[in-house]
Amino acid sequence: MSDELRLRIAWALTLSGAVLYFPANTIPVMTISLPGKIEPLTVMGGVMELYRSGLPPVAAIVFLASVAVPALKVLALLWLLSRHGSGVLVRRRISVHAFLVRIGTWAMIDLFLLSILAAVGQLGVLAGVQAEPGALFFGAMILCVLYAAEVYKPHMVWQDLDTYEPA
Amino acid sequence: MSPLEPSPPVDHGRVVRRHKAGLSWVWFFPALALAVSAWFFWKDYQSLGPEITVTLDEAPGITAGKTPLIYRGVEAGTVHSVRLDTALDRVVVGVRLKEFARGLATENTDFWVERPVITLAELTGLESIITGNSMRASNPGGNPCFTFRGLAEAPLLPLQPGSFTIRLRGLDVPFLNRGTPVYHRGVNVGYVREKKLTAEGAPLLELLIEPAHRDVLRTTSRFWPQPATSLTVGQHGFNLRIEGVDALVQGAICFDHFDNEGVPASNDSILPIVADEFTARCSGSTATITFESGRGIVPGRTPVCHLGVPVGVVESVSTDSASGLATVSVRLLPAQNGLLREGSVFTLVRPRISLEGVSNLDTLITGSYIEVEPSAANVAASEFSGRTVAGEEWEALQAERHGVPFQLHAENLPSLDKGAPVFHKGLVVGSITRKTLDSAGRPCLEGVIRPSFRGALTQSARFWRVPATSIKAGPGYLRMDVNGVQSLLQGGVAFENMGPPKPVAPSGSRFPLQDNHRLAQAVSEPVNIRFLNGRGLRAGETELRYLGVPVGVVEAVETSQGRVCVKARFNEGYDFLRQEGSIFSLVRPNISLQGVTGLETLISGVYIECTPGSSHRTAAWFEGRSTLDAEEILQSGLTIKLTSRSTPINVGASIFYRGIGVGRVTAKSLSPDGREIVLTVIIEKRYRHLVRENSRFWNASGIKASLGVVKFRIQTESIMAPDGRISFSTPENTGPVANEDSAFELFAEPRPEWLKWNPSIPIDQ
Repeated sequence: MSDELRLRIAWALTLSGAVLYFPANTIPVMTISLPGKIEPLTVMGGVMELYRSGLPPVAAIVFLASVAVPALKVLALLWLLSRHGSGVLVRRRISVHAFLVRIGTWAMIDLFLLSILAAVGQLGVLAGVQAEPGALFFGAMILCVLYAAEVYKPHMVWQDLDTYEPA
Repeated sequence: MSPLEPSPPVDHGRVVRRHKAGLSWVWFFPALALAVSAWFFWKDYQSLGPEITVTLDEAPGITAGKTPLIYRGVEAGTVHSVRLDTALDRVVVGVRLKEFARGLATENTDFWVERPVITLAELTGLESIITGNSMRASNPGGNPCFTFRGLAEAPLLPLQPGSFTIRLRGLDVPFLNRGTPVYHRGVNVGYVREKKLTAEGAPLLELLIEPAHRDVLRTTSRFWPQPATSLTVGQHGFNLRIEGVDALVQGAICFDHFDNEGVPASNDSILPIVADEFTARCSGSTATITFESGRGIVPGRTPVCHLGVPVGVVESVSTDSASGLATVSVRLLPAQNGLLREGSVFTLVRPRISLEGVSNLDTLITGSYIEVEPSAANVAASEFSGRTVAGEEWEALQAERHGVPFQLHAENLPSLDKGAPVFHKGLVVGSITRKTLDSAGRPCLEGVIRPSFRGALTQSARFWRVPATSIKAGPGYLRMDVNGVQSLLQGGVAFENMGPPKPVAPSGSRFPLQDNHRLAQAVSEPVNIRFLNGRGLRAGETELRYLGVPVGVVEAVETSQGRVCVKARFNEGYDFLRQEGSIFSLVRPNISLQGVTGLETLISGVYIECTPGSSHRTAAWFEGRSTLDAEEILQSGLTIKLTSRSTPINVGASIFYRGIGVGRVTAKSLSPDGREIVLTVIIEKRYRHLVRENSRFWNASGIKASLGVVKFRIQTESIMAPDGRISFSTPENTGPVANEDSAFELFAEPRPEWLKWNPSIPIDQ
C-alpha cells in the first residue's frame, strides 16, 4: 500500500469518524429498564448516570474514554493529516501519533461495557439492558478513528524530516 | 560486454503521479457515514408529529424526554417538557406526538397519567409498576386541537360509539362504586361508570350498558344492589352467600323486570334502585298505614307479612307532627294486591323484652314486620290505620276481648305489670290486662280468664301473688320455686278455689289479692292474740302451727296499749283452734350454753305454736305467751320469789338441787319499795316438795378457786350457765313444804354447813 493511499484512507476514515461522532453522541446507545422506569441513555447520559449514582472515578474514565478521547483523536488526526508533508513539528507529531495509537483501544471501553451489560443485565422484569442504534454509530466512529490512526504510519511523519531537512 | 564498457543508462523508469479523474474509493467511507447519519436524523425528524400541551393537576412520575405517551398500547409520543404554570396550580406537560399519532391532537381526546391503582375493588395500571408511569390517551375525535385538559384519573370505560348509559337514583347506594358490574339474570351486561350526588344530594349512579344488551333494559326494570357477601341469620340457621369471585369484593348491581315487560328504556333514562331483590319485586299497589309509633320500621327493609310470608315492603316512613302519627308507605308484590281491602288490619310486630319475658323473639333477628290480616270486604283501599302492638299484647287483647274479666284489689301491687300470667293449679289461665286505681283510689288489677278456663274461677276463689322466685328453707328442707321463665323475674297471680264449691264467678267479679299463698289459704275468721313482745313477728309470714304443722298465718301485727296485737287466720279446717282457752305461744330461737331451743326458727323465723282449748265456744281475743311461759304451762310448777340486794342472776338461770336442774328463773324485777331485787323462780312440779320453808338459796355462779397448801381446786359449777346458777339446800330437819309465792333470801355464797345438809325427802308422785 503506498503512502499516498494510506494518507487518503486516513483522511477518509478520519472524516467518517468526525461525521459519526455526532449521531454517536446524540442517539441513545442503550436502554436500561428498571421497575418503574425505562431509561434510554446516550453515552453522555451514561456518564451522568454513573456520576449521579456515586461513581465519579468510573464516570471520569468512561467520559475520558468514550467522549473526550474520540473527540481528541478526531481532532488530533485532523491536525496530523493537515500537517502531513509540511515538515514542521515533526517530533511533536510523532509523539502525538504514538499517543493516538496507544490510547486508541481505550475508546472501546464503552462498547465493551455495553456488551457485558446487555448480555448479563437481563433479569426479566427486574432489570434489562438493551443496545440501541446509537451503539452502532458509536462503534463505527471508534473503528474509523482507530483505523485512521493505524493506517497513518509513523514513517510517513519522519519521511517529511528527510525531505525537508534544512540544508 | 566488457566491464569497462560504460553501461548503458538504466532506465529506472519514472514515477508518474497519476492524477486520476474522479474520486478514490476511500471516500466511500465518509460518504456512507454521512448518508447513514443524515438518514437517521431525517427519519427521526420525519416521525415527529405535532406538539401538544396537556394541563394536569399533578403529573407524578412524568419525566421530560423519557415518559412515553401511549395510545392503545403503542408509543404515540414522548413527553418533552414538564413544567408548572405560573399560578403553580397546574402541571403543563408538553408532548411531542409521533407523526402517525397526529390524529390524537383532536379536541375529544382524553389524556391522563396512567399509574398503578391497587385497591380491593380495583387493580389497574399494573404495568406501570414495571414500566413506570406514563401518559395515556384515548377516545380521539373532533377538530384538531393542541391544548388539552388532562383527566384526574383513568376513565374506567372509554365511551365507545353506541354505548348506552342509564342513571339510577336511590336512597342510598352503599358499596357500589366505579366499576361495579351490572348483572341481568346472572349475565354481566355493564358497569357502573360513575357515582355522584345530584344537585339535591341524592346519590346517582351512571351505568354503562353494553350495546348488545340494551334490549333487556326496560322502563319497568328494577335495580337492586347485590352485596358481595351476605350473611342471613334467621330461625333456620344462617346462610352465607358469596356471589362469585368477581363480585366478591365490590358487590354488583342486578336488575330484572320480573316479567313485567315494559318498553325498552331510552338512553340516559333515570331508573330507581331499591334496597334488595325483594323490594325490587314489590312493584304492586301501594298503601299508606298510620301507626302510633314508627319505631323499628326501616324503609326498604321492614317487610309486610301475611300469614308469616313476606308480601310487601315498607317504602318510606314519615311522621306527621299534626296528628302525631307515623305514616308508613308500603308496596306489595303485584300478586298480593288483593290484600289491600277496606278493613284490613295492619299490625306492627316488634320484639318485646320485658321483665316478664321475651316475646316475638324472631323479630330480634329479622327485625320488626307488619302483619296484615285482610278483611272480607271486597272494596279496595289504600289508607289504613295500623296497630302498634307486639304479638303477646295482641294475644292479650284478644283474650281481653273474649275472656272473663275480673278485678283484684290490694293495698299495694308491687312488681306486677300488664301481661302478668294468672295461674290456676299451675296452668296459665289468663293474664293481667291492666293495672289501675279503682274509684276508691286503691290499686286495682284488671285481668281476664281465657274463655276455655272460664269454669275455673268460682266465687270462692282466693288470689295471691306468685313471687317470681321463692326460696323456702326449714329444718330438713330447702326449696326453691321458679314459676316458669315467664314469671321468673316478674311473677304473676294465682288463685285457688277454697272451701265448699260455689258457682262460677260472674264477669267482672272483684277479689282481694293476697300477698302470698299462706295468706290466701288462711280463710277463717280472724283471731287476735296479744303478746308482750312482737320481736320476729311478720305479717303475712309468721306461721301458726299446731303440733308443728302450719295451720295459719299472721295477717297483721300492730301495737296497742303497750302490747303487741297479732291478727291471725287459720286455714280451712282448723277453726277448732279458735276455741276459748286455746294457748298461743311464740317460739323463738333460744341459744344458751345450757341448751338450744326453737332452733328451727333460726331459719324459718319465729312461729306461734297453738294448743287448742277445751271449750266449745269460739273467742276472738287471746293472751299470747313467750316460749318460757309455755314451759311453765306444761310444768305447772311451784312459783317462789328470791330476794337479794344485788345479783348477777338473770332470767333463764337454772335452779339446782344437788347439781340437778329443778327449775328456772322466769322474771327479774325490783321489789315494790325498790330496795331489793326479786327473782321469780319456778320449780318443776316434780321437784316442788324439795323446797321447804327453811331451805337456803345461794348464788352458785362464777368460778371459784382456792389455793391450799397441798391442793389446788377450781370450782366451776356454772361455766355452762351464762345467766347464772342458783343452788339451794334443805336442812336435815325439813320444814313444811314451801307455799306458792313464798319468799326466800338469795345468799351470795353458801355456808359450809349448807353444803353438808343431806336430808331424806320423799318425792311426791
